[in-house]
Amino acid sequence: MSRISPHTAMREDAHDLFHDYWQLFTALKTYVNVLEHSPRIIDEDKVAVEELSQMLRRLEEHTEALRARVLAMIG
Amino acid sequence: MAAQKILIVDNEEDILRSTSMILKVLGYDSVTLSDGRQVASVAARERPDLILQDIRMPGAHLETILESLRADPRTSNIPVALFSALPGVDQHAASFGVLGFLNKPFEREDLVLLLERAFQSRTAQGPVVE
Repeated sequence: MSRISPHTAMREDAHDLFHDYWQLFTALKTYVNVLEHSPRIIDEDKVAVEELSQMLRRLEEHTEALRARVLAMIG
Repeated sequence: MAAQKILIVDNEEDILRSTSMILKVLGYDSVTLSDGRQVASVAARERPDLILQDIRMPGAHLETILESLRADPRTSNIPVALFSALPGVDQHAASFGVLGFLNKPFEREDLVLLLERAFQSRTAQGPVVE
């Protein structure tokens, strides 16, 4: 019977968490993308959608950097 | 002419709903499936023009899914594109012999490019990587 080391379990847990996060992030980004290209969005709302889109881009960059650092730390 | 139909396979319901929505906006019909064990049977029934399949499906191995599709003459010619939230999967996915890959999160343009190239390049030499 093999036992998973705490370190291995932590790595797998981190991978799973980031995977689940990116799944949700992808869905959110896709919904925003639909809004961005919707012909029914009025001009005032387009500004908010564009801001939301830019925030998602920054969040994506930050998360990618965080993931790289976390995974580098735990090996 | 009927819209091309895409079977989306992912265990995350939010991915299924959002991807189905953007495909509709782009002019495609879609069928969604959250159980990887049913890909072959649903594909045989629905006869999609493309299967967009997540690599990581609980309870179902990608290799098994692809083998089942290729073993059935009703589904053996349906192109399969993969998408995944796992980093670096595209570097290993060429061995699966599929049509293309899409990394999550993806840009709309990457999805459009994948679909265009997928439907234009069934005889292409190599996989499409976005």
